[in-house]
Amino acid sequence: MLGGKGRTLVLFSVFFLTAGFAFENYFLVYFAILLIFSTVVSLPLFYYQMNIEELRVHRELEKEKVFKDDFVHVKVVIENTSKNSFDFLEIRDYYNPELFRLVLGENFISTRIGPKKQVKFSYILEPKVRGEYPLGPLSLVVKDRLGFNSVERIVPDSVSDILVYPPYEDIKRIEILGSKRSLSQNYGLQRSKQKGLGSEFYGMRKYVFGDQFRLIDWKASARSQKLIVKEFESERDVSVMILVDSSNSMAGGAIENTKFEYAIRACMLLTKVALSRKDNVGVFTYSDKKNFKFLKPGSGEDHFYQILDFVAKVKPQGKSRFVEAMDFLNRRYQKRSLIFIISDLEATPKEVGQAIRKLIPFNHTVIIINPFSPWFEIHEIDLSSTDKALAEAISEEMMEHIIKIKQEVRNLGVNIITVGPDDMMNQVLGNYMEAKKKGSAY
Amino acid sequence: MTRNYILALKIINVLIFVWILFIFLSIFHFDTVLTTSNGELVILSFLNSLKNILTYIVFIVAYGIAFVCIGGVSYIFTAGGSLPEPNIYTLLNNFFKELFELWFTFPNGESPDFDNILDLIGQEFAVFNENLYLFAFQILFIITIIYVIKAFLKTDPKNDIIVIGSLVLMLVLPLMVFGLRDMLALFYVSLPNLENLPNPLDPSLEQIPIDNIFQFFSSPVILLAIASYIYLELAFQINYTHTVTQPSLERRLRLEAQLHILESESHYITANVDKIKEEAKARREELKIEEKATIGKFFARTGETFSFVKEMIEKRKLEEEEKKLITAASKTRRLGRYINQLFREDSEARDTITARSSAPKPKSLIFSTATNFIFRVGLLIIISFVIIHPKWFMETVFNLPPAIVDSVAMYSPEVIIILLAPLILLFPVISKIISSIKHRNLIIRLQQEGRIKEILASVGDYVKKEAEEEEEIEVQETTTLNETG
Repeated sequence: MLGGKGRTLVLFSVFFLTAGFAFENYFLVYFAILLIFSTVVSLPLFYYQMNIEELRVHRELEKEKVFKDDFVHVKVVIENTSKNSFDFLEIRDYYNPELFRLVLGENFISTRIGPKKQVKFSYILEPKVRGEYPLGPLSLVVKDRLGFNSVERIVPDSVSDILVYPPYEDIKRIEILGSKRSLSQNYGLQRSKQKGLGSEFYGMRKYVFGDQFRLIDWKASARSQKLIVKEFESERDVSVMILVDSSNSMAGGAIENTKFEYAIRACMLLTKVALSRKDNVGVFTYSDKKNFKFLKPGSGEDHFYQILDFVAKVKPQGKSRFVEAMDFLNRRYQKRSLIFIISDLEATPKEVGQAIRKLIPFNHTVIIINPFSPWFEIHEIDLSSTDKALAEAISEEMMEHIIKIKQEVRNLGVNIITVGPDDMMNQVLGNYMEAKKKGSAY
Repeated sequence: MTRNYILALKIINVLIFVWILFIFLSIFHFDTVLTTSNGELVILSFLNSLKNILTYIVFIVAYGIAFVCIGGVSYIFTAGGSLPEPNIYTLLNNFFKELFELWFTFPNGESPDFDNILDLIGQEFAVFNENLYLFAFQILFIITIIYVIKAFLKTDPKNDIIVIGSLVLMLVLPLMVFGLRDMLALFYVSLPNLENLPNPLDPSLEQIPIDNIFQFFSSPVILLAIASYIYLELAFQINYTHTVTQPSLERRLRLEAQLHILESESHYITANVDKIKEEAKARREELKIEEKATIGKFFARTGETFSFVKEMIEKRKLEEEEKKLITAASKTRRLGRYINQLFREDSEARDTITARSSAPKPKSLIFSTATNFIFRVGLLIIISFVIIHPKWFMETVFNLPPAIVDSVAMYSPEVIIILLAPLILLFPVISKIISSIKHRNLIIRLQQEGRIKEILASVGDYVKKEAEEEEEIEVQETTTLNETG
């Protein structure tokens, strides 16, 4: 295939040839012949030498799972397994600039590669949005050295998937605060201990009448010359179910700061805190029938990563079907739990009420975290007066809607907490701690 | 090393241009386009004729305005009865003659009569026309020199194409002008402006020695074509060398600088992170940004005048600066830390990010450029010689009778089409055959290896991996939770 320069030369030569014949001028004719042949003379050699399949190109990802605020080192390796060199090679590794930001390096290279030689280049990407996204494909352009002829190929199987977890910064912040003893109380990272017949050691005390003999620690008693008994923690854990509305309406606003992204962050934070307190945590994301995704409650560090994998892949889509979602949940899971519903509640008050009623028979403690839509969706700073008036009207309407829903569920003992982006994480954690204090859902 | 190599190639190309210039001036008589038929420098004559034409135009416009004004006045005074008196015209002529002689210098020294003005403009236009024709060559020559310098300073083959294009245009221009003249003569039309134009081209351009190979290659016409082609070929080779080496070098320098800045910035931020946070906090206090959102206030409906949107937008505006500062500081620090860790864990990461290994070795470049250049130019000269000499080919290969081989038609330029067309097509056909054979072999080989996807990809179809698998409800097994259902 003739490249750009080749086509230009062919056009020139056709003009010169025509002019040469018209004016019977040998210079123009001869020059045109030289130009026209210069574009095609190397063509057979180019095709003979070009064994594109002998170029092995692959991408090496430093990691396939990454937090949103982390970086990924992407390395591209090109190996020429043939005996001939490739004079002019262009390799481009495609990525979607809406999803990834190129932080360092370049995702393409123009080079020459000798026989049995290897060329490597790499770059660093920063994911912009949580989710599972493809990286690639790798495109390969082989040209002749003068750029007259070129062949382009897409490297097969050169699309890699990267799973982007929600940002870790919220958890990190909590961990840093938790490590400071004075603040840990506020955020409740320490596990609230209750004495009982568990297996984990709680403390020691003097023996009192009525204590079981098997609890006496004889070594400690011998040391102190008094009867000392061991106490153990009770293992009264709570099951926390986090229900995240994954309907389309949750995706409004700037792509990095939608209600849904905040909901996922809140879900991740709550999971981390609850798991660190040895609670069981499960997640259910819902919109319409096709998009119900359920992960059973579990505990432990591994379960945290299971939840991360689970929520990272969820995309906001479909219409929210509250009632059907609760029916689905009830079929899957009935154990008495502390249920957090994170939803913008963009459904009729009646539907929301009906859905909540479906949870009541199981004696769940239900807390609804409601991201207030206008607060998340108006992300532009320079609004015209018309837009401002519209935004005011929408806010008013939304507020009326939320108030109606609050009235609808008040009798069911369900609290709706309306939140903005600034206080969402605090509210979620605060309500969890409050529920734990009250002993809800034990 | 690579830079010196490119510089050496550019110097060679400039020398080739000097050679082209020598040949060009032997077949293009530049002295004929430097001066007019009166021996005056073309540039001066051109400007003078331009000035004369403008003078006459201004004169005719001013005269016309004065004439209309006088006519209008006299029409009003005679109440629309009659035209102005003849002595008014005399007054007008005298006035203009006297007045304009003070303002303008007319070509013949005195202001012309109004009746003669069109003839005078016609004469000046003829001079201007000749000057423009001659001046065009000088402009093209200046363009050639400017673009040669540009091509030397900046590696872009477009500059070299313009150099050769301008030179060729200097040859084509007289051919076109005199071609037009000859064509009009066929229709018995003659344009006096075209008749007297000088022809700077040497008559040797129309004929070349086609019987003797040595005479053929020593002919300045053929030499000019070959030298021009060599100049272009070398320009493309320079561009190739530049394209495969320069981005790697630039990339390495750029990234080394970026890494250096990142390192120093991240050290600075790590050392001053508390200070930055304090500054941000102070600014927050100064701008009176509330820590808590106003959503509670909005829902409380306290009765006071409260604009939710206004409050939110103001808050966002104030936060913007602070956020930028904190985010930039945090990102730089994180990236700095990440890069340090990456370089510690992956020993070749620095080399791959700066693409150090991608720059080709100068020695192999020099060798490949030289062989490729000699091969291409040599092959092209041979092919073009064969094409331009179809007589030998027809005698020896086709064994055509002497009546055809020695016919007058064999000496016309059009006869080269006989070999040109099939030979041009021969190369793409051969390459297509090679490509098909290799493709077939590849498919057989891959089929044996069972690599079906690569077969599809090799014919140009990229089989996109179906990323969106059917999303079914997923129940994941947990290790700790008992079944409740």
